[in-house]
Amino acid sequence: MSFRSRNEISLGDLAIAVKRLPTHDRDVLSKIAACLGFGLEVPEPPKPQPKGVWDKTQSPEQDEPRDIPEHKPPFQPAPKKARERVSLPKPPVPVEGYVSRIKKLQRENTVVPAEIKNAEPISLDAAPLMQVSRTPIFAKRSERAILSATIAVQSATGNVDLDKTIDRLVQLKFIDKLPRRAVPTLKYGVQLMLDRAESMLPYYQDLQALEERLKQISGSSRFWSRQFKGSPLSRQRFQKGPHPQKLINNVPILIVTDFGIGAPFHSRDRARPGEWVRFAQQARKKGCPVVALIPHKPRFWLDQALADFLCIHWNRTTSAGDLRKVIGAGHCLSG
Amino acid sequence: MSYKPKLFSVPEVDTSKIAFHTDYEAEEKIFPYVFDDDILIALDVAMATQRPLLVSGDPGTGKSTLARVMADTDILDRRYLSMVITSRTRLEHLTGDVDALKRLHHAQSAQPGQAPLPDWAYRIPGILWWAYNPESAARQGVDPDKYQKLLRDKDPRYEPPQNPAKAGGETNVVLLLDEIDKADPDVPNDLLEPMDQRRFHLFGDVVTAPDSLGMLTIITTNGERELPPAFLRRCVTLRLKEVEESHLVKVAKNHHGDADESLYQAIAVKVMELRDQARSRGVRPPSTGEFLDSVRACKKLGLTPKSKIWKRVAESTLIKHQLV
Repeated sequence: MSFRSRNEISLGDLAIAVKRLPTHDRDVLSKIAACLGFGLEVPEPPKPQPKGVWDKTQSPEQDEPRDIPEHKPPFQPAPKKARERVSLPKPPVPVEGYVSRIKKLQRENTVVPAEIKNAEPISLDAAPLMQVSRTPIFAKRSERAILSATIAVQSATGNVDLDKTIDRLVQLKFIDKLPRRAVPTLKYGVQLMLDRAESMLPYYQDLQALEERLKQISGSSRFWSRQFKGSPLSRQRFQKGPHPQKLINNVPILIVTDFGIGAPFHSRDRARPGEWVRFAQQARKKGCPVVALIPHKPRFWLDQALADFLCIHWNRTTSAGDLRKVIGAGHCLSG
Repeated sequence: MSYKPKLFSVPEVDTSKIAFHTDYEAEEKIFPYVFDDDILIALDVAMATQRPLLVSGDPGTGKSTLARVMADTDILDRRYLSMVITSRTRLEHLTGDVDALKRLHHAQSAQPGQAPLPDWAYRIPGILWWAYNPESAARQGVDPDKYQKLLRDKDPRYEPPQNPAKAGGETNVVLLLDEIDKADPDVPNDLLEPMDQRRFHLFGDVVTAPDSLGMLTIITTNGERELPPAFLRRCVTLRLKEVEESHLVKVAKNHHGDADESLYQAIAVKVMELRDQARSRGVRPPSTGEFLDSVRACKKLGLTPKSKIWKRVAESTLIKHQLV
């Protein structure tokens, strides 16, 4: 067997395996195929969506509506004509006043059909839950790269930094440790903070999916998740899992919030700008870089947040390349 | 279904001849492995297709041990190479690296007129190099003449690399890359070419494995981190399932003989109970490795699950998460 031009596992591998491991046992054949990632079962057809539920994936306009530029004509618009007022005649009012013509119907002796009489009410619990397909906010293909770039931290484990090495040699300094170039690493994990305020309710499923995805990317042992309502300093925050309440030193924080942008004007869920500043100070003290994922457009973002956090638009147009331009080889840990 | 492997054979185990071990030497001993049909089929498929076998499963289910057992003289009789992957592991550690610091120290501490060692003398062959071409790795990728000359010179600064392969056959190899999920996401992607085409570029040269090399690569993962799809698509996969009570007893018999079968049975029952409790509380259930620890402790201390201090033994070996 030649190994010069092999790629992913294909049906050719299955053919080789079946040829080298001859068997007539269907169970064994099924397990051989399963080892190679092939299933012998017929896949279930996709379930039809119930009527009345809007499926984003079926819509030709999957992306957010774009801003359509206003095209003004090159010439002056024609002056608007003033509409002439039409005076309608007043309806005549009867002398005896308005009398209702609605008559009360007489109840008739109706016979209830047997099938309706004997019918049992449908239990809501027994009804199958309808799964509505969800289009992820970050495109599935690039989601991993985007999130990895977002939470990556610089680690001096790359190639030897020749410039620094030569510099030390020239200065006749003893080299006890080779200077290395910074490379991004996920070994520090991530602290995820999810805003569960009312204004984030439309993103409920997206937040859950994001939590699961980040857990997969960073590894469950280096993943801490917490939730808050509006203010990151809120005492009402509720914890998920056995993780500590306090911020963990030198672990990047990914905070998903809309800064109360989508909340009603008098909402109690909206944090004051000062609270964000205090949170930023706490994070800085712990040596945690903070990244904010915001579902709204940059023109709505808080100026204060822009100054304290690295803000990223949680949108399909955000790419991993754009993030790497900003973050580079990862966040620098100050601690 | 009872599957008989076609590309290797598993020897019959006579558990009556196995003695009880608690010594450190015994830890080095390769105990008979309890194979099930899924494991045997996956190994056969990996060997038939010459693809890496990606073994996943909970900690302590025997993922890493599987590689060591397969290299054993009773089964494949191959060279056994293993490396535990950490978050600091890079591709260069697996293929080949340069000990730049040693080179610098030699240069700084050289006597006047002393010739420096050649550049290649500082190469550190990685585990893939040893697996693919042990002869080339031993001579650090240079001509045999140059290598022999340096050996003849007996320069005290030169230390020839040591072959990390453990006892086994001469040519074919079993390679274990343990805990790949601990690696940075780049590492599995970097491994695509070396594992796919059995070659890698190093120091301006290409290290290639001969076509005749029989190689079984076993990669383990605890599933803590998702692996890149391109990597997964190149691997034969095996998920080690949670074992049953009878399986635990069989494992204990393979390790310590069948003299105390009733004890193994009693501890296995306790393990099953604890597993159910752990599952309902959402904590990690005791593993096969921890079951063996409790068996060893009970045998050495003359205890049974009915003993007064059994609870303490169970806490120390089976339900650690309650204490820490």
